[in-house]
Amino acid sequence: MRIRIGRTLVISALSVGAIIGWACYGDIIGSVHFYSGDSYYQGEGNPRQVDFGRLPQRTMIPTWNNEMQRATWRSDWEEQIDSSGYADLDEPNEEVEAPIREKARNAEVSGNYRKALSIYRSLNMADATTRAFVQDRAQVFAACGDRRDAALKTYLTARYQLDFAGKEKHPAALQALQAIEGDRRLRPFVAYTLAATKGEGFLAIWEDFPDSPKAEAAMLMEVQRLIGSKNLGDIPTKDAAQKAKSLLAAFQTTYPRSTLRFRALGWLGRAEYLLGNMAGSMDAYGRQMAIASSPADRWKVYQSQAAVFGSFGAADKRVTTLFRQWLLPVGELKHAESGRQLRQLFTNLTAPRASAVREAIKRDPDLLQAYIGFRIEDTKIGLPEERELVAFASDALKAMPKPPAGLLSRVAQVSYNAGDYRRARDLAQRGVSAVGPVEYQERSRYTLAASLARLGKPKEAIAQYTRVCASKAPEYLKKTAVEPLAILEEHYGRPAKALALFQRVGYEYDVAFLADALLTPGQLKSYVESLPNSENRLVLTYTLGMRYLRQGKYAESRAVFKTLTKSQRLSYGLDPKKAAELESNLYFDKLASSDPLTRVDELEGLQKVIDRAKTAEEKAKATYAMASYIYKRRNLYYYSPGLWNGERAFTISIFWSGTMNGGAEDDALERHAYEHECLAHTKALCETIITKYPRSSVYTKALYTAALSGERLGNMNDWWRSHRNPLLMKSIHYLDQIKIKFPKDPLAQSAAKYSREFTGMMSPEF
Amino acid sequence: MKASFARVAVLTSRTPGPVQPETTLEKLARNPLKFLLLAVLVALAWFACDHYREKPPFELSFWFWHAPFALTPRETKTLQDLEVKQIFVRAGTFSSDGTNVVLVLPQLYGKGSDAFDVHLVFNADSGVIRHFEEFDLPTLTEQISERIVRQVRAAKDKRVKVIGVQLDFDCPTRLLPHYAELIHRMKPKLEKGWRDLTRRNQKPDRPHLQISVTGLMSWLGSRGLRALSKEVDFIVPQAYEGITGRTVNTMRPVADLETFKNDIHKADDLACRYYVGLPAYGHAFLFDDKGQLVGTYRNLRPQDALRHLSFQFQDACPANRLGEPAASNAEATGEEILRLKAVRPAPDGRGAGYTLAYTIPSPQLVIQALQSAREEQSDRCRGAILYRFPEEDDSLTVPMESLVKAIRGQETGPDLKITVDTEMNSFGVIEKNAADTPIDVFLMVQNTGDEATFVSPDAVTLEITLDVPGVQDVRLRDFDRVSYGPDEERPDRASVIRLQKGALAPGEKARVGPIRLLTSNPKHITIAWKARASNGLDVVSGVAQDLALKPKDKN
Repeated sequence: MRIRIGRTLVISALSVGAIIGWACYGDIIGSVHFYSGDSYYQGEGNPRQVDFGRLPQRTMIPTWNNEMQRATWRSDWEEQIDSSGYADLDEPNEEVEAPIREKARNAEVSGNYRKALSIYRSLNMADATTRAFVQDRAQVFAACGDRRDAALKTYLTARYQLDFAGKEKHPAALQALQAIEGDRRLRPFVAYTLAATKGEGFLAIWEDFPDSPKAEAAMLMEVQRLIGSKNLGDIPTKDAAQKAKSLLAAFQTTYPRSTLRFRALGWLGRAEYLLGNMAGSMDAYGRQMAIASSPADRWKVYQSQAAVFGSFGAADKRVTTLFRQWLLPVGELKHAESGRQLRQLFTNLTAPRASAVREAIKRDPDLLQAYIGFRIEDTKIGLPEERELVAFASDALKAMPKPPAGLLSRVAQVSYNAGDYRRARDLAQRGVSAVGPVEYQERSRYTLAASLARLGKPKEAIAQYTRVCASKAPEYLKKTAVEPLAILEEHYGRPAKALALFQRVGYEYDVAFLADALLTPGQLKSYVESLPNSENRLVLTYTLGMRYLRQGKYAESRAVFKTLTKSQRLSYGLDPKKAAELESNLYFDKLASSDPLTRVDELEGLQKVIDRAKTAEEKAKATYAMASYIYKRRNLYYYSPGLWNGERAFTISIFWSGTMNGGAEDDALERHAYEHECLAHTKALCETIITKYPRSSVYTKALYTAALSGERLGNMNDWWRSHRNPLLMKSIHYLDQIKIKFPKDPLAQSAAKYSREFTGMMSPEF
Repeated sequence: MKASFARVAVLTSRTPGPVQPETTLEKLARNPLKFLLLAVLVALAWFACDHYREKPPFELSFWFWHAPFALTPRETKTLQDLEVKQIFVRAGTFSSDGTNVVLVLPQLYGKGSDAFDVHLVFNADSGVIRHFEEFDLPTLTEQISERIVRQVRAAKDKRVKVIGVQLDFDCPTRLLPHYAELIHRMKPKLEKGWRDLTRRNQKPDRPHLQISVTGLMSWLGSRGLRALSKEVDFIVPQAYEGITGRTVNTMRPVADLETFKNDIHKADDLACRYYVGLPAYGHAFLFDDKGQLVGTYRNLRPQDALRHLSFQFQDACPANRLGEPAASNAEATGEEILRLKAVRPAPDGRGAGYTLAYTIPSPQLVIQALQSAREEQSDRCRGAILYRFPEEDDSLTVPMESLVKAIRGQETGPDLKITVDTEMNSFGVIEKNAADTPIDVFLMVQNTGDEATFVSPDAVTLEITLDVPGVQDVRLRDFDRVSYGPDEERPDRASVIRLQKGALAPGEKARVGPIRLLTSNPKHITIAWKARASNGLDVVSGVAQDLALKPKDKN
């Protein structure tokens, strides 16, 4: 799953006895081979191993940055969850909603009510005011939409201002409403709006306009006035509850087919609850559940039922009701709220109540499914508890003859998490073919693929993951399946396919690593050729040219670079404006931004001198000339800035995942690091002289330059610093060679000095 | 005092009038005794003027060394309350790329950076210092000047009120004339750059860009420093790190106030005024397995090193000026020395047997340093600059809460607030068919005082006494170690849980939990706590009696 994380890092460096702090604020990343900033910090510098075979969860937990991420990545996420900003996730965004409202209002003002209503209906109905407003508009257009008179226009304006304009406009709007002398069709709307602003006078509307659509709403508003809670902790009187109950009875008799029946039953449940009648309350809620038309409505009913059970001390029933609520396919806010309530209930559930919950869960597949899901996604659970959960779930499963797909997918999931891959595979195979929603089947398939990979069957795993990606499963599953699929493709033969997958999900740094390091130039060439014309193709072409240049394959490099125009080459394959912006941010030096074709020509020229040299002395001198040339060209000579968005060293140094990347990736990165740096090329050329031409006149220079290159290389960035000591040791050895074997050489004194200095630099990095 | 001297001067220089009466000198010449008396008076007046000139107000300022340079409104208000007028901000570090001097780690400027006058400080890394005399001086002048002007411009672009630049080149004393020559050559270029800001619509805040340098105490009294002082507006001799021990047993605290008191009067002979640089920081050193200094260390904070698996605590003590354990506050320098031994090598295979040693500053260090600086202030000394402005979460600087009080000479100390939360673990009943729901206790400990604790394994100690014995497990989280009592019992029989943490900064919170008890039977706990003050000698303590273990109904 793409994990979008803002990263904030502080890299400290000591200089002359003082600490220099350097704060870097990078952009947002999603990656497999690199840590997200958040997972880096959650592990306090020791990131946790991420198992990409673990199923992602439908509702991710927001981080401190209000970004979604896997619960299983966190060590202490249960503390974060309560302080996180779930509410932000479902709330309508006023920046999005306001223009839509204005557009609808414009249509309305010009008399196009049908169009206006159609636009209003595209607003986010999660907001209660908007929902009531749109319903009112639908009713008023239905009641008097054939008219275009001043009264209707005044009503439409006033109601709009009352609901969406600032409070300063409310008095004028109310005044305008009071002045309306509309016909009988419009009057109930005016009266209702005035009553709603005052919070009273609803019954009069019902009595005066019993046939108006506002009459039903007015009645329920009266009930709300009687038994609704304006402030937290307000408890309505029994008398008010009794009056509300009578009104609701009248409502049911008068409007048996009302569209507001669902709400009426909810109020009836509350009235019965306030009267102390638990059975009556549950009966009303039961009837309400029977006519609930959406998961969100069912969620509300469960919420009411759970509250009633809680009030009457039936904590176990409250828990089981909330488990049913937890299973509903509702939005993130509601789902998270169910989890929050359950988590808190479990903190003070007594042993007898917990036993009652256990018995209920063991009997009911839905409850068992919800319980396992809740334990995995909403509580902190370690391996011992996961194993106990597998044992408990497996035991309960035996007593269920035809377990549903959802339950099978959950037991398979927890079995995988607990490391029981065979059980996970067997259960997932049953889950894939069990009857149930496609989401549950594909969850099982995901676990099946992960288990197969664990059991040494990568090809079968790839086939299953590919099916998840191509299925009609929800996005969270399909997108997440790309991660393990790409990893398997990388490891089992088709890295170019992995590159394509990372590009598909927008994992920029994985794309950069694969293109610049892991793929061979040949593989990258085939991939680039398969791409349509785009900036992406140009950047990868530039990268391919660089890959050949780094390896000294000048003809191939030239051929690739020639497929780009000069402007494209000078802007690294990027749009020239983007390239200029990148350069201004990164302080590129001028040499690095020269035409890469010139670099190809110059390096090839130097290589030709080496190739044509006949004697060892000539070869050594030519090699040293090339080493000197490259030494002076550093440090961005071989860079593909468009590919890494100018963040290569930073990303590799800080975010290279030590837990995810193993031998093959580390080797590829190391090869890449050496290919990428001028100093490494210089050092390698000097070492050629040291090895092949020890009697040449440039031998001591080669020793000296190799030593200095090694030392500087070892301090280029954090990646190189972590490889510093072997480089330093070699540098010291080269300098000592000069000092001991050539004491009269002009470089001997400096060599002795730097040998001492470099020895002093070799401190262990704990 | 200056006025009376002027009067004497006027008397002695008066010229004869047209009537040619007997002059004062002639009168005095006729009376040698009076002449002698007057000469003595003149000499006394001269001496008084020279040695007892009025001290200027003692200005206080800070070096701001981290990045980005940003001040919160609260920090700005605190600095204003302390009557700070200017801040010395590290603007970049000069390094060498083998051929040229380049600027690395340039400063970034954030919110609040326009609240004070600023001197941009440019330090030089060891490479530049090492090659200082080898660089071609005209090239060096050109490169440094150009880079400084660019940074001044960048800072002004961010509305920073730049009034000066400061060089922080710790070169050998013999190279001070070279350093003076460099600045002499740089000055016209910097002045030109300063004037050019006007043309770029960046009107300088001052007509003249101040130029200053930091200095070492060992430079005082040298001819080179006298030459250098003629080139700058002021110098800042630093009263710290005079001696750095070369072995693990001879390492010294940062502050060297005795040398400071002995030598600072030599600064009065400089051609310019001066501030004194005072320490409010500490640092870390690495010594090899033979105890020889390897170098400074940068990776781990002391509290992190205490928890690191590769290190074993050796000792921690309040240090005297020789780096030995101080027996009393009078003897203590206000710095802690903490030593840890590497019991296993670093990932690169090196370092086993090495010693990691820290000097950790306390508010007492600042109190003592400021007191010495005020006592020794002469009319040439304008005040002090503290190194360095505290960075959040940096235990090697004195935290702001403590610093403010220390500057005002007020007492500080740590204090703890402990909050207890309780939950029942009912998952075991469901998943294992267990008969009971054991209690989970969660503690939150916060240092509500204005001082960090000492840094050592016993810096913060909690002793939790249960009314019913029995513990299953303790999740330590932010704490370092747990033991069970009263007499090293097995956890399931323990009625006392002892928890320790190595350090707690002011405002910092540390959590522990769940402390999973054996059953649901315990109803109360008592928590006794102790915290060692940062001077290492004082201890604060408290007890929270009979706290009820009752899960809150959070629904």
